[in-house]
Amino acid sequence: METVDHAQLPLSGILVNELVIEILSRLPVKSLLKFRCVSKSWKSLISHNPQFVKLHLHNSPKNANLILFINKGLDEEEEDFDIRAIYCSKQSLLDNSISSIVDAEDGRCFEVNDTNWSVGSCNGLVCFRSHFVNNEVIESRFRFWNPALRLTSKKSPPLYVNKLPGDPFSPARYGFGYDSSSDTFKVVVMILGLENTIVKVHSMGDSCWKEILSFPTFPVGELDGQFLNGTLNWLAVRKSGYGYNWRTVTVNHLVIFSLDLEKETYRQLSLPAGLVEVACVESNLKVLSGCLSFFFHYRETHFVMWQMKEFGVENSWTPLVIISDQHLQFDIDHPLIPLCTSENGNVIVMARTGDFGAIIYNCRSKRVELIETNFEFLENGEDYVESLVCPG
Amino acid sequence: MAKTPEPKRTISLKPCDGDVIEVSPMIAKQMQTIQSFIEDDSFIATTTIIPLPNVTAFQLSKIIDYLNYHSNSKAVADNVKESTKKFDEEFLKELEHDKLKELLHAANYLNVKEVLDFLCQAVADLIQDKSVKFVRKFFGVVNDYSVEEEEDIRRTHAWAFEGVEED
Repeated sequence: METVDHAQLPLSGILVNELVIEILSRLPVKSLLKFRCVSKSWKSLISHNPQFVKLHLHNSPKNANLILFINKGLDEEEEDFDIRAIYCSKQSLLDNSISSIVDAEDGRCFEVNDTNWSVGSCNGLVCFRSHFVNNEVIESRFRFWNPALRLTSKKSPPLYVNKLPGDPFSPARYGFGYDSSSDTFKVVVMILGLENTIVKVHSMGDSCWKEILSFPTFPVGELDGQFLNGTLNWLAVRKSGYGYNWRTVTVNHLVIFSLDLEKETYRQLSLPAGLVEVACVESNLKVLSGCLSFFFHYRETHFVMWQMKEFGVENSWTPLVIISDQHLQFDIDHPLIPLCTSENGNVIVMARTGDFGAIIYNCRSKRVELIETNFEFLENGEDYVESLVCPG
Repeated sequence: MAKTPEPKRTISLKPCDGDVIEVSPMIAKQMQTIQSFIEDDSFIATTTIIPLPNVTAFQLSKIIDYLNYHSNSKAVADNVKESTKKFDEEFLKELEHDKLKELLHAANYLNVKEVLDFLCQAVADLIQDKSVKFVRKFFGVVNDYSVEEEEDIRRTHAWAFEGVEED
């Protein structure tokens, strides 16, 4: 984050300018939009000053908010799933008081649908991908949403990916992050091929896609890249080659593929040493409270999660949770997806992807509490920071 | 070995309207302005009294209170957090709006990051749900919009004006 040169920011008042700017940079976005009305110089500071946007983002509370993806079921008129993205405070999840937010019919809500998926959330922006398939070609376009400003960008230029012969699944993997060195938001797509994997990047606001890397292909997990410390991270298989049967892959075959958005290079990070053999179809990565977390289901009876306390340091892997389905008193036949942890890491909220609602688990007292939703599935959640960053 | 006399362990600060206040080097260190005094070659801890013409005794003791309390309660345990929160609330309760602003200036002059961050956040919390009119008065900002211009801004983000507190 660049330092902000206060001398260049024009304001006047009883308090010296630098103090007024410090105070304003600690306000929620909603208050700032209101205070554009105070005077012309306040408006230009809030709406047209890139340094102020950075200072505000820097001071914006981290690990306090989430974007939740909620599936309200099949919309019969539209013949499509009614999926909504809603932003809420982490505390309201931990306190089990989200039901009021789920029903909110205001601008905090973004209508998503079956062909419109989230790719990730970063510095106050959420990236969505919409796609449609025409013969063997998948056309994807991306949009950026700032929930606090209630603004959505136009669609990005299209990305075309050819499906692989005989493979019903998409060969593309996505990720969304921010490169501070060039001050750009980047959408990354990895296109797995028979021989090589190609990595393409679209910088938000640009009119093109750029190929940045190509390397001998190796299988990469299904989910979107997790953004942390200027890198996007996916689960992958150590072995090169295409068409691996994921059901036979075990934890010991897995590695983290970590792409540096500034240098446009990649490296591989090891998972915790000494893990038992686990079919990896239900294992995944998630950034929780600023830590890369690895979770999986052990023999379909236990949920296990580890955290890399210091990013990139392989011996900083620390076990966080082991819960049995006996203790939960329901079958973990569908994956649990961790949504957030409390500040001290003792309490974890996990979405039940196979059932309505979520669970709150206290690692110390082992207490399990259910979050009931009104017949809505909590599909996923992403860390979210409020910002004034303009989408697109 | 002969015993050397204990060196003086405190720093003497003289506010503009009161007697000298002694602070520990650890507290003085957090005041950047004082720190640069101390680092000056001509500074002699035993005899030098640092004059603070822009800071009152009330402001100085508030800042020292804050630093003392927070340097003794760095733990993350929940009960400590709770009592810290209570201390912070009490700390602010004693401050009228004008006094709060003056204290901000004093903290800014002494350049105490911890107190500055705390007070800036306190002012932000105070004003976040207030009306535009309240904020203009609080910061002494003159409205330079025409009625139409102001109406226009209100219209574009009408939802941002919901839930405004009474002044």
